[in-house]
Amino acid sequence: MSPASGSGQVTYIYDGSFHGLMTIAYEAEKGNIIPHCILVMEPDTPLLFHDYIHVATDLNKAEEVIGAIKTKLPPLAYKRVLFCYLSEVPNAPQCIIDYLNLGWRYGKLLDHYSAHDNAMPLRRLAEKVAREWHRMTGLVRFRLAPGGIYYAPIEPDYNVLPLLSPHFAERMAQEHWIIHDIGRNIASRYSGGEWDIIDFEIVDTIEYDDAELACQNLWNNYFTNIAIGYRKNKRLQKQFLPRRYWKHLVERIA
Amino acid sequence: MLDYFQHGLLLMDLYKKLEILSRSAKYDASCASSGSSRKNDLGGIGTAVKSGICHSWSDDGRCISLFKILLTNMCTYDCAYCINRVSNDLPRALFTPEEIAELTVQLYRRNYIEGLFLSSAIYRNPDYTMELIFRTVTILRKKYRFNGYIHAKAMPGADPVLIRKTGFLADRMSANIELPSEKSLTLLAPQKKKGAIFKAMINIKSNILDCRERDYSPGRERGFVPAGQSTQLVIGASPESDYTILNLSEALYRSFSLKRVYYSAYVPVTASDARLPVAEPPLRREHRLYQADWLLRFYGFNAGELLSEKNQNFDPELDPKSQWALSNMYLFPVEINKADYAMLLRVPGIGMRSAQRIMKSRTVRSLTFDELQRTGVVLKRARFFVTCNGKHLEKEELDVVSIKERIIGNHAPLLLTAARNKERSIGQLDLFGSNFLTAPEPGIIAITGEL
Repeated sequence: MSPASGSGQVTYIYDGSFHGLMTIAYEAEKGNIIPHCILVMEPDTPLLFHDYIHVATDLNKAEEVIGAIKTKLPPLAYKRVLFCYLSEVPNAPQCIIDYLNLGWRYGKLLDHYSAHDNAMPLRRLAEKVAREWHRMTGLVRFRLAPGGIYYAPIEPDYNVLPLLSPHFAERMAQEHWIIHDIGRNIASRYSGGEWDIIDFEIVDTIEYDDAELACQNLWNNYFTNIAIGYRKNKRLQKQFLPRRYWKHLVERIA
Repeated sequence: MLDYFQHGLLLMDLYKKLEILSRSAKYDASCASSGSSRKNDLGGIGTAVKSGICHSWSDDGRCISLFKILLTNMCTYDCAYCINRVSNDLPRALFTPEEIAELTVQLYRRNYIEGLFLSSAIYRNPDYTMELIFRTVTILRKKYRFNGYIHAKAMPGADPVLIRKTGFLADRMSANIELPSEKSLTLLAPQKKKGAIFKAMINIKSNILDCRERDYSPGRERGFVPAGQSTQLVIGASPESDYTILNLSEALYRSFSLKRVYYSAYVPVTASDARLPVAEPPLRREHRLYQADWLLRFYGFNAGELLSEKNQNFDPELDPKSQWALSNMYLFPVEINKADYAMLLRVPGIGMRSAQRIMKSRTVRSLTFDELQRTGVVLKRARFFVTCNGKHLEKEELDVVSIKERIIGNHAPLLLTAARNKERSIGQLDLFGSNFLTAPEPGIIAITGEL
């Protein structure tokens, strides 16, 4: 990989994978260039005076960067980077490159610069992803589908499925389950101690049996009766449980 | 399955039982599933997560983490404030231990809940009820190999051996004091004895200590209530002041090493009883007590600093920390770049995490107000109490009255149960965040952990 020529305005293009992004981090570090912009695909109308560099994912380079993050930066840096990546928001790759750039400079002292312009955006994003992951560990609702598979549809803002899977793999170790991210058309599939993430779509509607529906009814019954009428506070409820998460719950919130 | 019960109520439909017994259980404020960390074992179901997990929020804005249920609401006691008292005309029901265990696992497999919170009315006598609770927990742990969270009630007056056996299977146990003085207990709950409640609490505490001394190592055997012990106080059913209540809480934290004291605003559950108030539930008061409780546990305050014989109750308009700060203005302003950690924690608008961030950030450079805001400090309140590099944010010096006005004026309308649910946000959410995303400083881990 040759450093960018001339103009200094560089856009890196990669395949969208985490290792792809880590390869960019590697090149940016070696070439001493701070990328102006990182894209997953080349734009239809490229900018003038602008270099577009295709970066082929290189597992060795990526692993070298990952290793460096784990050994040279503070203990939570790698987790932050990974979470930020999973946010999948357009500026996430940029936040990661900026953060790592700051990290190579300050090493283990990076956490002392958490208010820095190059650290703050990543931290914010990582916290949002962590919050949604944590929230979703509670909000996933399994339904016992025909064939003895526990099926849970979710629609999170961020791609938290890879984070949720280990949690349920341990908790529900004896069951077969599928957590389906409807928005991303992917699912985590677990059985016999192993989980993997696959492309997934459901064509037919799932017919649940009476036992399953009875259990859902019991839960709704409980949900309604556990609230104290005198303390009714829908605003507070909505603050903790925003409306966008209601759709795939089993409990019916009025 | 039903052999040792001889009761027609057992034949009632499960749906109906659940309705009756969840209604009867809802006045217990506790729902925390935090404080235990446990892996699943081979062939078992469930895990426990240190930070706890909320699974839903009911229409009153309270978090649903555990399946909170009574074994039965058939009570021999007649406590005036309690919906389940024997003299109250309400539908009664009774679950078997088997039914509760099966229901818990069914709900757990669907990820509706984090575990079970099992309580009960005093059915027949404390021993009999405690035996049923023990049986239920045993079935869950042994037959279902359930490794999720279990909070079990200790029935005051029950055989200490039964309480001890239950505690080795549960994550948390609690005995509710309910009324904050012996006088009120005698008046409103004649069958409840202060001595019996404290005896149960001491029993739990000594078992915890005993377990610790024997150098219990996780994994070898299950510890005794690893998530500790809690209790609940009813607020507003009896005339005790905030000062009395907070002093009681402080004593409970010190002498019983409680993990939590819960406060539950008295909700009128009876048509008319001359001994009880008819006022609206004192939600705002409950909120202030939770805030003050937080200051006791994590911010280094003691009850005598917050209230006094002369000033017995919290200002409903102002949070306890601001109230304290305004009565101690001689300590302020504090310099953000110099003050020690303990003092930073005492500044209104500065929480534990922002105090930690300030300590960290200022080792590399001194903070400006702009950067201070980025640490998460609520400048709306903190601005009156701090300087950054000697600079004030307020142009002129304000007196206590105008600062108070500004702070109150700046408050968004209170979401009344927010403080109670702060356990969710700090205990079950931010704590999680600090576990994973901000490495806590050694030595101050305890302030966000151990709920």
